[in-house]
Amino acid sequence: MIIDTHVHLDSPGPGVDQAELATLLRRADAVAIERLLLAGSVMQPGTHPSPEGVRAVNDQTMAAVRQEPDRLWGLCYVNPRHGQAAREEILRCVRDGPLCGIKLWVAARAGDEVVDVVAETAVELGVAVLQHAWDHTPGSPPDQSRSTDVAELAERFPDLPIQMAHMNGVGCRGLNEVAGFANVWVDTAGAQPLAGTLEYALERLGPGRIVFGSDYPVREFGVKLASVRAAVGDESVGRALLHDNALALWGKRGSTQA
Amino acid sequence: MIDLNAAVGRWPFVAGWAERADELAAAMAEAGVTQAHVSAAEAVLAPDPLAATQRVCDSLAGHERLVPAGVADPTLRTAEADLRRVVSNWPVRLVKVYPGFGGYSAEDDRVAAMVQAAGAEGVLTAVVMRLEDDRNQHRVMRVEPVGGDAVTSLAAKVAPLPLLVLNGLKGEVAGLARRAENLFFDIAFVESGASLPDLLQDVPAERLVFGSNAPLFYPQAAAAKLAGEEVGEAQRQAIAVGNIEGILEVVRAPERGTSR
Repeated sequence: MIIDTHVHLDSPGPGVDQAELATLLRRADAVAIERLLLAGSVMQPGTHPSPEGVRAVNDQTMAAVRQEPDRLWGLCYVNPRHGQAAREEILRCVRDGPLCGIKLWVAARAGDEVVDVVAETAVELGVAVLQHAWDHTPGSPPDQSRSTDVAELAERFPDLPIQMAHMNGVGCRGLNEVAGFANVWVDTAGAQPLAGTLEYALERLGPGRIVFGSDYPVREFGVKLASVRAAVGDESVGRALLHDNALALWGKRGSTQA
Repeated sequence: MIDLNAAVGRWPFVAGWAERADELAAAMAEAGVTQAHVSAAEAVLAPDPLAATQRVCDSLAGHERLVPAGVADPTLRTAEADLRRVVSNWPVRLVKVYPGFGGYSAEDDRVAAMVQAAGAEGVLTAVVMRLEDDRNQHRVMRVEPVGGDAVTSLAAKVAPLPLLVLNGLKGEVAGLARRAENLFFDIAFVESGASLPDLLQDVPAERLVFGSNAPLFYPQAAAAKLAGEEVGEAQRQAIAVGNIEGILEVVRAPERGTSR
């Protein structure tokens, strides 16, 4: 069984575009991905979404998870700059809803203290955060998190499990930044199928802190899977990356809530 | 499958993978590539790419799957003579130019002259748009991707000779395909939720060839773009092999150099 921990819908919420969902599941089926973690249609409401924009994303994710509970887990997307409203949205979607964790994109840097309310709520609920990260991007959004920001968040909240997105986006230096924090996992998403970074991550972080993520529909399931399989020869390591680690990070909450 | 976009050796800005010829050959075999046209990674930054190209040509001996490819800097006064020297000694059918890394424009007349000279030798020229994701380049060593206008201008100058464009993004490929009929494209940098089916909506299959950008990228990943039910068998065959053979046939010279 393969779990993809980094997947997006791309249509505007709050409803689910049924054709989009059907295509997503058909393409996942074609490469034997059985479980997908939806990180929301985060690009729809812009980089610094309003509370209404956030709710539309989350209503869509919750509807999709309720429709396909055996295939989908979902994350609650929030803008940390909303403060207590962000906390209320997490409670609505995770404590009282079917979502199994939190997604943070580029509304605030992970190292910024405005993120604390989100981190504290996540720790309180016992769920993880999927944090977008990318290093050294010219012209990138000003509040985009770099690996150094993720490291700061991990240091401030050692009980908060964090999945740092985009291994190829932060590169070897970024992996170095978070290697010392046992509460940080990294996903395989990001950029073209760059060779060597996953091998480096296995050496630096070990196979227990890496999860498979495709970033579909920006990227293609099969391309990312082929990259992981090219990099990982050992069957047990492959199983850890493609399934076991994701189940440990997201599965407990996902299975009970969905 | 034939890979027209491969190299061997060390590229200093990435973690590194399959840098030796034997490692690359094994990866290509795993990806289902039967023939890869392989240039020297170090030649991209070398002041004179000839020596690096010669080393690569020698290092590929014994690897039947790997065919040597050249790298040229058309702004060197000796470029055309060097190309003829390489072609006379090795079975080279492809020469790559890297305008971004060489600090010249693809529309420089010397590039067109190089393409024509290569064509006269039965060698296809490839313009390499970039080597890495533009966002992932070294913090202080950044090279702008080759501009589409310059490539279009070059294509017009050398028409009807075919010109290969490597490492174009989907939008670049779609735009260039509309602007010049003698341009062909590889698929190494083209990616979306359904990479090839999406690209084929804008670019006909006969304009596409298989290219992996190995060893910077896994060749298995490029091969995965051809897999799956959403790509038709005829399109798959054309991109994997048929188109490449057709393009090389157009530039085939009556007599080739000796192989070794």
